[in-house]
Amino acid sequence: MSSLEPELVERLSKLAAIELGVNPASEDREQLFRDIPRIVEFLSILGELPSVHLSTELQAVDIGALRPDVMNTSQSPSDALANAPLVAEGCFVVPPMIDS
Amino acid sequence: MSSQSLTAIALARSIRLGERTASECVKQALQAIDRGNSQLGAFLSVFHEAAAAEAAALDSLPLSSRDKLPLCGVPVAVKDMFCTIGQPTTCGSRMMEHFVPTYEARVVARLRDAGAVVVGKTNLDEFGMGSTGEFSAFSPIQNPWRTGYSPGGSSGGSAAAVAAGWVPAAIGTDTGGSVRQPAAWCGICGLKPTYGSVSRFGMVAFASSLDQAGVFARTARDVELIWLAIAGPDPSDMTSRSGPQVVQAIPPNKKLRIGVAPQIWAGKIAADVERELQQALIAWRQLGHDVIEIAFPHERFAVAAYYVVASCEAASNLARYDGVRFTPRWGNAGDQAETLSAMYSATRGAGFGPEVRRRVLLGTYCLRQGYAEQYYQQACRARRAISADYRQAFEKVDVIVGPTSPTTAVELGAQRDPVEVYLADAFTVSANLAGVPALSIPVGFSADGMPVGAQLIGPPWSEHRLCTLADDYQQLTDFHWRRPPV
Amino acid sequence: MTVDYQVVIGLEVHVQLRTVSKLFCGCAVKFAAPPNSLTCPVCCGFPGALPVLNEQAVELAICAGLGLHCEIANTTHWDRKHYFYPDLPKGYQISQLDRPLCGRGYLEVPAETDQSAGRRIAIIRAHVEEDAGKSLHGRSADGQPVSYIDLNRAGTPLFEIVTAPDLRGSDETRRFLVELRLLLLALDVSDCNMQEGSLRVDANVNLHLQHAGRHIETPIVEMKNLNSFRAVQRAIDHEADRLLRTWQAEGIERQSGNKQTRGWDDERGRSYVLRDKEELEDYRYFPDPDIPPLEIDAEWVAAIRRRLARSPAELRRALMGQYGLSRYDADVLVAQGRGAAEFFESVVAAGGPSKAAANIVLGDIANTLNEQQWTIADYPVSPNDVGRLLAMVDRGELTQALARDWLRTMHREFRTLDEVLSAGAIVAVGIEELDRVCRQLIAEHPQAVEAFRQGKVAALGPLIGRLRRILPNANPQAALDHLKSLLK
Ligand SMILES: [Mg+2]
Ligand SMILES: [Zn+2]
Repeated sequence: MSSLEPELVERLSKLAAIELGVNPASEDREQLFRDIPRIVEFLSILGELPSVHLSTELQAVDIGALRPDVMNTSQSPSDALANAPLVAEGCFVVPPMIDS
Repeated sequence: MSSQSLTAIALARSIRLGERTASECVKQALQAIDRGNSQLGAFLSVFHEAAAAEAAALDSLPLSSRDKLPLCGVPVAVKDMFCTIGQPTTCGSRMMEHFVPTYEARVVARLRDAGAVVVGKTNLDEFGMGSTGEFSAFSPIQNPWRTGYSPGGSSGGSAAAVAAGWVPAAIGTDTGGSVRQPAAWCGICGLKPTYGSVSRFGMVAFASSLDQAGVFARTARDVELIWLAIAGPDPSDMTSRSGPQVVQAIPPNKKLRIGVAPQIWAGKIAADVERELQQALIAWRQLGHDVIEIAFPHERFAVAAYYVVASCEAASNLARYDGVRFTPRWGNAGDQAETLSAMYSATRGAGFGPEVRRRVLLGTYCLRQGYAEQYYQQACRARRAISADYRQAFEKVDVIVGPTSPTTAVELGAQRDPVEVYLADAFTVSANLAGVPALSIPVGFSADGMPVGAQLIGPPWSEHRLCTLADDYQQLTDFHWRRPPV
Repeated sequence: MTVDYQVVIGLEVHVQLRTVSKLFCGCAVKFAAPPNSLTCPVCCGFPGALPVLNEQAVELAICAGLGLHCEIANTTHWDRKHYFYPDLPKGYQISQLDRPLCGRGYLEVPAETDQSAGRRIAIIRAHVEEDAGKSLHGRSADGQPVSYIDLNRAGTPLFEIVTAPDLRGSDETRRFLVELRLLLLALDVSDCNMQEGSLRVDANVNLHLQHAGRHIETPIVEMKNLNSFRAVQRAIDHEADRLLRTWQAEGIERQSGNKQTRGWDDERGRSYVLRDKEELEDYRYFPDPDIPPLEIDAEWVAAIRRRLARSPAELRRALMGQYGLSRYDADVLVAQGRGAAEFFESVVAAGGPSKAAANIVLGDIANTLNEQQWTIADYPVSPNDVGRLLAMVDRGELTQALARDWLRTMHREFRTLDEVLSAGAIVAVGIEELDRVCRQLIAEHPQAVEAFRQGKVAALGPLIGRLRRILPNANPQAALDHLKSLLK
């Protein structure tokens, strides 16, 4: 079984923002990246499907399904922040978004 | 007669008539859970006080005002994937271990509106991803029929709770078979309703276009009653819809055309499963129904299409678990994240378990630039083709019957190849891809005493037809009343 | 070395659509509320919450699209655009990729003089998407740099307009934006308030030069954070200079991958690098499965088209053609906004000569509005009375000076012309009638009501003005008393 090239591993891990190998309950990164090519190989059957005349659209709705522009009561800021790991001054606090 | 050997319908009726109290029924359910849960691991949280209070409130209602409560006093278990106000909602994940919603899933609200009492939240594979229950971050779940065996997944806890006789009914979610397969493995009924018939509001999303809340109960009649209670359009869910205004009652002795597609399962299912399925088909024939062979030309694409769509949507839906608003935050310096990217990748690396990580990475693989056409778009096309197969089939037959799962319950802890595991979903995923309803019912036992299920699939909004056909069968059989030796 | 070059600009303009509630939830759209007070599980991206599309946002976007002469899609859908950022709650933005609501269109930049012709700038597409939250940067209690996230703005409806690289130079770009703003204000789809971020501009800039007999294009710079028209103009001029010097020094031409993203520091008049090479961005777009594709009923579009207000260009043409105003007066009147032009037309309809009408609307009345911080809708004198007054002057029944005096009295004392003429005789209005109109006004002016409730009694002034236009004979004091009693 082939495995993924290290660059692609890096790229997927970065795109998905998942650091590999930190969760002790998880399989190690090698295991994970042996599985993905195995699954991908299995998915290649989709290539056998004739691609013509088959749209990919979901079932449409019309204006009736939309919401009238009315204000509903918002939650209180304490509800918004109730489950947050770090808050201050009514805001969620995160590591700096810009270089100081 | 103990309340635990009654159907939800019978229980609700006797409470409405004042023959028994909601409080005693709920108390019996809670006691059974307390006695057995350390062994089964079916519940992640039990609402002792809240459930008792709700039951007491129902008991204080005058008899006349209970008429509008079809589930009056019925204890119900809910998969821990539905938000419950003020009660933890973990999704079986470390990521959500401490999450307490400030809003209620519509399904839970509708259960309560119908008079049901939610007694607790059940264990599951993390975020609904898995088919054995082993991907719960908290504890494994045992099959009530045999310790050391899986109850199925991902709604394994809900199935186990009903099979053990603790509650007459439970709610699960079904994205690719997560209600039907555990129902089959635990010897009970499990319905995956028509997509859009039940609101997804407050049900934590795994794959939005496939997810649908489902129902577990012993009898098909109970399943239908509970589906009716939770179904209905919801202005908070744009994908929810209303069904036909009038549901045609199926007249007794109406001959139905039952479609079978043996080429799909031939050689791929255990001998025990094949035998019990054929017995069930014989029973339906004896009831006067016709069994007709049908073709299913695009079935071979179903599992691949399912895993692409489900993984792409999962990768997207799970992007919100980021350590900012409602999850714990892991970091690179102790528990502190010093940089944004460390916060994201450490939180998501540590908070998600192996199957979730695998699916999110797979979805990312399939959606990344330059590959979406090959995987995601192509899977959507396969999905259309499969829907068309169903439409054509339902021009010839009223219901399609087949196996729910290729095997009976598997042993816990065995090493399994991921593709082999995914292929075991072959018979259930296509109903999710096509959005049609499907019901698994118990149809017998394997030689070693494990339950076997059969699946009934119908066109959109044919829940009543499926439940009626299943009920006819259940009038002749007692598989659904057999009790596991817990 | 002198080089012959053109500065080529394409714009991406985000305007906030003027809705009461957000694009996918019922949270209020309001500026400067306490942090995270205008949020709910949907716009906070909490698990299990689902988006429900706001009909009015789609309607306003169709309206704007029609004003920009865009094709309106028969079917449109929303896509998820994925990236991780703390102000983006779901880890994706709900936007539109391949089936935008509005397709190709154009906007004409008016000519600078009567003689020169206007220029059509092509609109490539325009779509509806949700805004992100806001972040503030500071230090935590232990001195570490941190960012604070406020999600009040998250989920606000935006209309993103993408132009072709048809603009030439900073001046034309500014004039395009001025015209675009006038159009969007006339259509009443956005308040276009740049200070509050309701109109944001990104500009793609490069140079096309003729050098040694060859056509050369420099690399493109995408300028972000342009938050005033002046900043847009200055940033483009600055970048054009910088691009020219860079090209002269390095001779690098445009090719895929060498687009640079820069921010603009308007205070220092400097740009700075935000992202150097065009990093391979990968947003993993796919159709949002929570939002079914939307079929746009042709009848709906036709109804919006029938209601469509005149564009500034149409208005300008009417003022110059039908009313014989000068190019200058027409421009100034159009720049005052739709209300002022409509007021002007009503004044003329009531008998005011058009030149005198333009003078009074742009003169005395504009000054009053300015002093009182009113909009034209708040002005208490009806255009009909203004027109009659001007007609009297025109007929020689009144001097110019006296007419201006009377006008002042009328707006200060909320009097009609008839009252002034008959020296204050007031005809009673039935209480039911008064009550009905008061209730209607309260419903229509939640902001004034809110201001009154917060103690600003003067906020009811404009309401009395409007009441007097509906019920010219109502006693202003009685009306004010009744309004107050309804608001108790
Ligand atoms: Mg945008
Ligand atoms: Zn909201």
